[in-house]
Amino acid sequence: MGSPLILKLAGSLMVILATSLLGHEIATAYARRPQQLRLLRTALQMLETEVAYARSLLPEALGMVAARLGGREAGSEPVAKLFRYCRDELRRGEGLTGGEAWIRAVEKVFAQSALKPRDREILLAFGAYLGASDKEDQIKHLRLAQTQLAQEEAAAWEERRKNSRLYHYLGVSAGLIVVLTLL
Amino acid sequence: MQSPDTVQSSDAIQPSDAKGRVDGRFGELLPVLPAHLREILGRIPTEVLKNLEEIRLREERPLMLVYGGRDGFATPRSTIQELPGEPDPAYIITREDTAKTLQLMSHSSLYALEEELRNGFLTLPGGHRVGFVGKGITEDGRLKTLKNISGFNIRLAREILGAADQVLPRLVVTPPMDGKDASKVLSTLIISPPQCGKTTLLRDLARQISDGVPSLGLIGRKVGIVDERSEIAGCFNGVPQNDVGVRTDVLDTCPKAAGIMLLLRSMSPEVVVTDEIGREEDVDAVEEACHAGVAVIATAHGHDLGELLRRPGTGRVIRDGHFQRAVILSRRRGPGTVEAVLELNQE
Repeated sequence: MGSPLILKLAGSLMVILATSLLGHEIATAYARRPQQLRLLRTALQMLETEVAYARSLLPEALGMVAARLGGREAGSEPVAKLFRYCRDELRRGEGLTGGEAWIRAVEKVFAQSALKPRDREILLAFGAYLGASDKEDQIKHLRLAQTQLAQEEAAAWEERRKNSRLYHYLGVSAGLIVVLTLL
Repeated sequence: MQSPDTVQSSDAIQPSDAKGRVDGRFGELLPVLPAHLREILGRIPTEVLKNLEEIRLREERPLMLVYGGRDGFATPRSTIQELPGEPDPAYIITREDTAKTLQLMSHSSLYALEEELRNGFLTLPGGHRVGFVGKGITEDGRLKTLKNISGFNIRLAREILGAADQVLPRLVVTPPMDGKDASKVLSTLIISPPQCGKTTLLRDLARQISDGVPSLGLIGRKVGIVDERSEIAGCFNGVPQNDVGVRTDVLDTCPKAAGIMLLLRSMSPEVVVTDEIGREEDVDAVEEACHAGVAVIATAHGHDLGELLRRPGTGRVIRDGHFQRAVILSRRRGPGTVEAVLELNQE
């Protein structure tokens, strides 16, 4: 008559495991946003170098940034995609300006990213000037966007620190509660 | 002026609806224009397109085309008429059109165009050249950049292969003693008022001399082009968009005098080709090249030889006998009419 006990134990373990994984999943999602914000900042810094020193044309500069970001670390893909899409829109020759192509790319990538609407606002505001002014002005807008993203990033790390632990605990405890109620 | 029998009943040239008729070069121009301008220009009548020389965009003024030595205004329906307001109102260029045109022409990279904004022109893929005006920003009395760009002159690249067929035989000599491959290219000055096809001629001379012309006993020569205003080779990102020959090196957007010296030092050209010599330092560089045994083919603004002889720089270089031939061009029978090929006496 040992088998029902073993079944119960195994079932309970599976329930706890499942809810813990769910908690872990939510916790990692909280880590993804600050990661992507950091990558965005790095990317804008690369773009700044391309624009200010290499004087590459915008489509080339975007492609270069995308290539250097690609496959860097888990979660970097949406950021690399943003730059690649923007370049592709420009190359298509439909007569889009840099700003218009950027807006399209942001809208396209946003849903796949861990970014929040206010991050998107920063990107959209920055994009309006992309490639449309002289070097000094471009650098100014690139720096402004980097600073704004850095602020969001700091807040996001803090949020992540709190929430990550919370969701780990919640995951395990939810499992325990379910098991205890059902036993 | 339009002759009476070509005037159509509506007083305007009707648009063409034939698709795929836009030739490759003109096709390359369209992507740099905002969507509705592209639409209007994509349908312009074939007879206008065939002779199209310039597209003029002026903010808050009608869209103008220069073709076959005259001009006309384009309406939103792509008809071309002599008057901006009749029979239909012409398309009026908006501020958005000019702003967008500048962005598209710069590949959304205005920051990379400092030099071009100072010089007031840029070269597009396909070798088309765009001049523009706006508000000049000066620093210490020198033009630093242009702002509020409000007017564009898009000059269509016209590459006419064979433009030099008529004159080239008279610019080479075959010494009777030597073998048949020893034809020598003579230093030549092309004299022409603006818009008479001197750049077209110069470009085709460069191409033929570079590739070689077996029927003239001319083997291909190494040609160096100093293309200060990107007009000859029409370089985009350093790559010639025009066929300037297989043995041709192009030094793009480089001042003529410094460019000629650089080519002589580093590229060992046999023929140096350059545009519009006039300043003293250009003339010095031409002399330097001639002393080095390199043939020079250059152009100069003017109507005849006498006019150039009266100018200090060009007068000196002609009198010193550095040029053996002079070609005089005009527009009498259309651009590229050769008025005369003169043999200049050498002292």
